[in-house]
Amino acid sequence: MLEIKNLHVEIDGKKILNGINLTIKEGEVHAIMGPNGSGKSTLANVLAGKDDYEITEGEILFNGKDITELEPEERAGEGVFLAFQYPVEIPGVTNTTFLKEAFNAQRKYRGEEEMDGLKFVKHLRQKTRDLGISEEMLKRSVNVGFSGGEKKRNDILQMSVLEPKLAVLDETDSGLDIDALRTVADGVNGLRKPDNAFVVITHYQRLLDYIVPDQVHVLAFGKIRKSGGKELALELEEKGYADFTGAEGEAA
Amino acid sequence: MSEANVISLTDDPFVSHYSAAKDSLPGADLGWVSDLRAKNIALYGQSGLPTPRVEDWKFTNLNLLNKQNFALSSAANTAEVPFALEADKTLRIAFVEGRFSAEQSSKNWPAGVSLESFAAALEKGDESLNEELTREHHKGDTPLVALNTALMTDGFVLTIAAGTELEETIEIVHLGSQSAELSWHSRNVIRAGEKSRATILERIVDSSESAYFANTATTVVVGDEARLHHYRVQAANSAAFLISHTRASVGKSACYDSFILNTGARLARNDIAVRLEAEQSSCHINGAYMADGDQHSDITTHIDHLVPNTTCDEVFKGVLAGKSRGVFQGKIVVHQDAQKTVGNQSNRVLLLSETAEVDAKPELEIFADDVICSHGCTSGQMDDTQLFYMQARGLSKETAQRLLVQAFLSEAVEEMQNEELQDFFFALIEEWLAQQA
Repeated sequence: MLEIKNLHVEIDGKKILNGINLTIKEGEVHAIMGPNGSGKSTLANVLAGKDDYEITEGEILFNGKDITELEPEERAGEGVFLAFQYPVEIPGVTNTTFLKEAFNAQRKYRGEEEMDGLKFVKHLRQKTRDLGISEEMLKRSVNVGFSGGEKKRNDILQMSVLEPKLAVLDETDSGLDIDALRTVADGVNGLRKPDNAFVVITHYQRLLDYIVPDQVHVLAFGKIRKSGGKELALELEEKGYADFTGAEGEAA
Repeated sequence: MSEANVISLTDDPFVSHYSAAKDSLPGADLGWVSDLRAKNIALYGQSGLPTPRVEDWKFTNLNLLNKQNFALSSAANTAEVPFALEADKTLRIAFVEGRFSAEQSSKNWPAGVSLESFAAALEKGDESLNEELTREHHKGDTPLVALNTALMTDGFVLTIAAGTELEETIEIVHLGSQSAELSWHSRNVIRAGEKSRATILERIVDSSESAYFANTATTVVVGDEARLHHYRVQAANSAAFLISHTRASVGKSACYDSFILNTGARLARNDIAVRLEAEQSSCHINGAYMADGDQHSDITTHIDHLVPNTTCDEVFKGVLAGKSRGVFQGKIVVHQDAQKTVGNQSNRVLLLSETAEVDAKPELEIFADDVICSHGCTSGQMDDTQLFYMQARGLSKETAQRLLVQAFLSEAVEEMQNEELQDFFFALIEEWLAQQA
C-alpha cells in the first residue's frame, strides 16, 4: 500500500530525513518510535503533504502512485489520513459542517456521488455512538474548548467517518491519561480492517500495549536504524534510545 | 497625498450645485428651511470636502471624489427597484437616485406607522422637522452633513407611534444611479416612539455600473423603552461613492441596534454616532465589511455615554482582499456623570492578500471613574495551521478559506439582536464569498 523509497527531506535547508525506506502492506500496523527530534513528526507531515517541507530525493508511492506532488486534500482523497499531534481549533465551524464538507470533498475527488445532508448526519451520528462520543459535540466548533483527550478522540471520530486506507497517528498518545489513551486505542482497533493500514508514531511504548503493531521501526537522525517485531518496542522501553542517539557520526 | 485645495465658495462644485438649485429645492419658500440651508452651505464652504489633514479623515482620502464631476440629480427616474424580502411580511419604501418612488412603495401602512417622503414633509412645512435637523448631534458635525443639510432633496420621514409593535420588517431600497456621474443628498428621519418595536432593513443596490455619489444623513430618535433594529446592506457597484452619517439619540431603557454589511462601493464611509442620553439606554453597533480590488471601506463610530448606567457593544469584522483598504475609527466617550458605563468595542480584520491594508483607530475618552470599557483591534492573515488541518481532511484550500472567512464574519452577524434577519445576512456573506472564488 505504502512504499517510501530513499526519502530525503529538508526544512529551510536543514536536513531532517536522510533516506527513509519503508514498506507497509494492507492490514498491517507499523509503529515508528524514536527520540525527540529524530524526524518522526516530519515523516508524518510529509506523508500528509504539509508544504513547509522540501523533498530533495526519493519518492512516496501510495498504491503504486507517486503522491509527493499532490496537495494535502488530494492525498486525503487518495485515502491518507493524519491524526494530528495537536489537533487544530477552528472557531465558528461546527464538527458536523466540517466533517460533511470533508466527507463530500473526498467523495468528489474519487468521482463518487456526494451524500446529502440528512443522510450524512445519520451516518455521522452512528459513528459517534459507536465511539461512545456524545452527540452534543457535533454541534460544537471543531476542537474549540475541547480537552486534550477530547481533541484526540475527535480526530479518531474524523478517521472513522472518513474511512482512510492509511492512517498516520502522530504521537496521538502525547498528553493523554490512561483512560483517554484506552478510548483512543479502542477507536483505532475498531477501525482495523484487512484492507487498511496504520502508522503509529510514538515516543513511548505505552500506546503499543493497546494498539499492537506488526512491525516496529526505530527512527533516529532521519533514518530507520532498526526494524523488528512488537518485542522491539519492549526492548526500547527497557534500554531507552541510548543505542541510537550515539550514532550521530553515521547520520551526518 | 495631495495638497489640500483651498476651496472658496465659488469654485467648489457642490457650492455651485447649491447656487443653481437653491430656489427649486424642497421647502425653498419657507424661511426656516432656506435659512438652514444657507447657514449650512456657509459651514461647508469654510472647509469644503474634508482632506486627510483633518484628523477624522486621516485614512479616508476624498481626493478621488473631488476628481469626479458629479451633476446634481434632478429628474425622477422610474427604474424598477429590487426588493429582497417577501412582500407579505414587509413594508416597502423605494428610492431611485435618491428620490422617493411612491409607486413602488407600500401604500397601506398599518396603524401607528406613518411614512412620508422627506421632500413632501419639507414642502408641507412640517416644522417639527426643524428639531431633528438641528439636533445637538449636528453642532460641529462634519462638512458632509452640513453639505447634506444645504442640499437635502429627498429621503424618508418614518414615525412609529408610541406603543406600536410592528411585526413586519420595513425594507427600504435605495437604487443607485441609472446614468453616469450623478450626486444626491438624502435626508432621513426615523422616530421610534415610546415603547415601540420596529425593524428597518435598508439596502443600497445598483442595476448599473455608473459612478455616483450618495451623501446620506439619517437622524434616529429612539424614545423611552423603545427598541429599534436598524440594519443596512451596502452592496453598491464598485464605482459608487457612499457617505452615510447616522445620528441616533437613545432614550431611557431604550435600545438602538445597528448592523452594517458593506460589500460594495469604490469608497464607502459609514459614520455612526450615538448619544446614550438617559439611564439604562443601550446600543449595539455591529457590522461586517468585505472589500476587494481597490475598494475602500470606512467605519467610523462615536458613542457618547452621557448619563449613568448605559451600555454599548460594538463588534466589527472585516475581510480585505486585493488592494482594498479598510478603516475603522471607534470613539467611546464616557462623560463625567456616566458612572457604571459598560462599553465594549472590537474590530477584527482578516487580510486575504499582502496588498490589502487596514487602519484602525480605537479611542476611549473616559471622564468617569466607575466604568467597564474595553477595546480590541486586530488584523492578521489566514491561519496556515487551520488551513493545513482542513486540507488534510480533504477540503480544497479554497473551500477551507471560504469556511474560515464565513466563520470569522459570522461572529459579527450573530450579534444582531433581531435573530430572524441573521440568515438573510449569512446568505449575503455566502454570496460575496462565491463571487470571490
